[in-house]
Amino acid sequence: MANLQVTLAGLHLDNPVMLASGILDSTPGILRRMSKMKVGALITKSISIKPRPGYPGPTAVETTPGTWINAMGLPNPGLNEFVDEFSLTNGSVTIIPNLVADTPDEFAKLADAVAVAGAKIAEINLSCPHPKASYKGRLAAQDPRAAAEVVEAASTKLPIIAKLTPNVTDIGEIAVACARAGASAISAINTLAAIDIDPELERPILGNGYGGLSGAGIRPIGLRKVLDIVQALTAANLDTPVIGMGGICDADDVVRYILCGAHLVQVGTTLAGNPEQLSNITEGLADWMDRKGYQNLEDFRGRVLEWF
Amino acid sequence: MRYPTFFEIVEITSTTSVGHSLWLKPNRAWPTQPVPGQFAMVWLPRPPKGYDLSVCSAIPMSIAGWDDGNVRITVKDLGLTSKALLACSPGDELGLIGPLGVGFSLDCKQPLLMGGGVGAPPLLYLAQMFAAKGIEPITLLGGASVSEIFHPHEFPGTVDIATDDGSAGHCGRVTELLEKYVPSRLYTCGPEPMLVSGLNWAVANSVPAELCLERYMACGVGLCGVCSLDEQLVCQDGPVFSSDDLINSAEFGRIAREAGGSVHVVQP
Repeated sequence: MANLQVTLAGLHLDNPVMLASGILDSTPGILRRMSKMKVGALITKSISIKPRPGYPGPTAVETTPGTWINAMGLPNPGLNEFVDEFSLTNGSVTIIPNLVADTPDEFAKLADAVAVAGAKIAEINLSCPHPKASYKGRLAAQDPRAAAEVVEAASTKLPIIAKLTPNVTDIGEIAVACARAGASAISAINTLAAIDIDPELERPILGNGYGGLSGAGIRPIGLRKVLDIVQALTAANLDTPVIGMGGICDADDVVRYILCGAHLVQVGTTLAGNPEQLSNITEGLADWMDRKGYQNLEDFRGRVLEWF
Repeated sequence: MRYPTFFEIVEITSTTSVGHSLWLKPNRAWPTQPVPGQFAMVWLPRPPKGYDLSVCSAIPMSIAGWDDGNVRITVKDLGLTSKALLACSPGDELGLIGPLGVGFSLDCKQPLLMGGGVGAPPLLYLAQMFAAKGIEPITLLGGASVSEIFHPHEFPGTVDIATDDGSAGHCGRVTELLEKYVPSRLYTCGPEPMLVSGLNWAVANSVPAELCLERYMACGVGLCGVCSLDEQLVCQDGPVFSSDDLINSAEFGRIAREAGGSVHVVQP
């Protein structure tokens, strides 16, 4: 029997498959449903200090089968209501809050609050590609120094996963900066900056205009970026674990990311309309390892690196 | 594919205070006829004259009727986007993502329908589907006064009315009419306190019930989870739920959510 167990910042997880932020994680009720699946950890939607209602619709549209463009607008009830309503300590599965803010100080405040509420680790969203305030400028995760400042501020409170954008020239450089600043893990990729246009209506398909692309079609890009990160961390003598995501639809896709050197993975878009697929993916990973005769994830992690 | 289909408003009928009916013609037909209770994310892509871009959004709306591929929705002034939809004219364009969610079941010999106020549109479509199968439904319609009763003359079968002010039918709550009937199933849609009363009556009388719920939806397609009711997604597992689904709910009749997910209490 394959052993899927994995460690993340000292936490022991049953398996390396996590629920990605922003998908089926808006309420304690839906998180409870997802916690009943075969999942290593659940990541919440991005939490900001003040409540955000989200953008006008359409907020999520399937542009080609399995591939989606979205601009939800980081809807969330704000830090105070989140901490009041979501239990971060009692569940059977580790719940990891995802945090979003504009400045290192705000990130530190959020990290402090969720640590006090019992979170063992948090993911910081350095890279949502469609907030209006930043799309003309740069995101924190598009500048190694800005990203490092945020990680440094937040990781004084609890272990931090830095979630990176693929919309950069050299994602390895950003990952190394975050790891050196104290990140306990690097997760990538966030959605690809995108727009789509309806030819009949002659306007953008999203209410917000700007959005991010996710789902099946982006998987090869996610793999390339994870490979770049793994290679850069290795070159810098850093052993920070990498959480791969982008277009994972089944167990084969999980295998692809781990072969590129990912320690864990996150699954999101493919669960639209099919939440139970999360368990199928984890079970499929165990089946694949059994068929291949692998006992542990380390037995095949990074196996394709020699080709690049 | 959960992508908006382009629809043109071809006719606007029943322009009364209970809502305007917009008849929409697609440029590419939906592959299947919607089931009553299913909904669409209705996207107003362009502001009507006199409105600005802030009214453009996509909102969940019940399918109120179907005529050979054309879709009927019923619009009442309940928010920015629905107010702007009321200002639209024939020839204007909408985008519909749908049909979405789980609708009512149609295998029922003696259906009893109960609708309150703006909750009645999916029941009109349901009543018409029953009539088309040769089953005569009984429909109970409630509202504050006669002007708030949803198109009673369009419902096939028997219609029984209740108004809070007694301006039509029984003076009182529509749920007070339930005891007159012995149906094989109760179908209901409307304000949540009415649904709670309907559920309690159905359980007490061992009548199976299907209830069509409303929750704030951000995506409508099972992606974000903000419409969840306990562990169910209203957009995907609903909006129609059975009495068994709801009888032990911690949230039904108690709490709902606003944009962003903030909790508010359902007023009894």
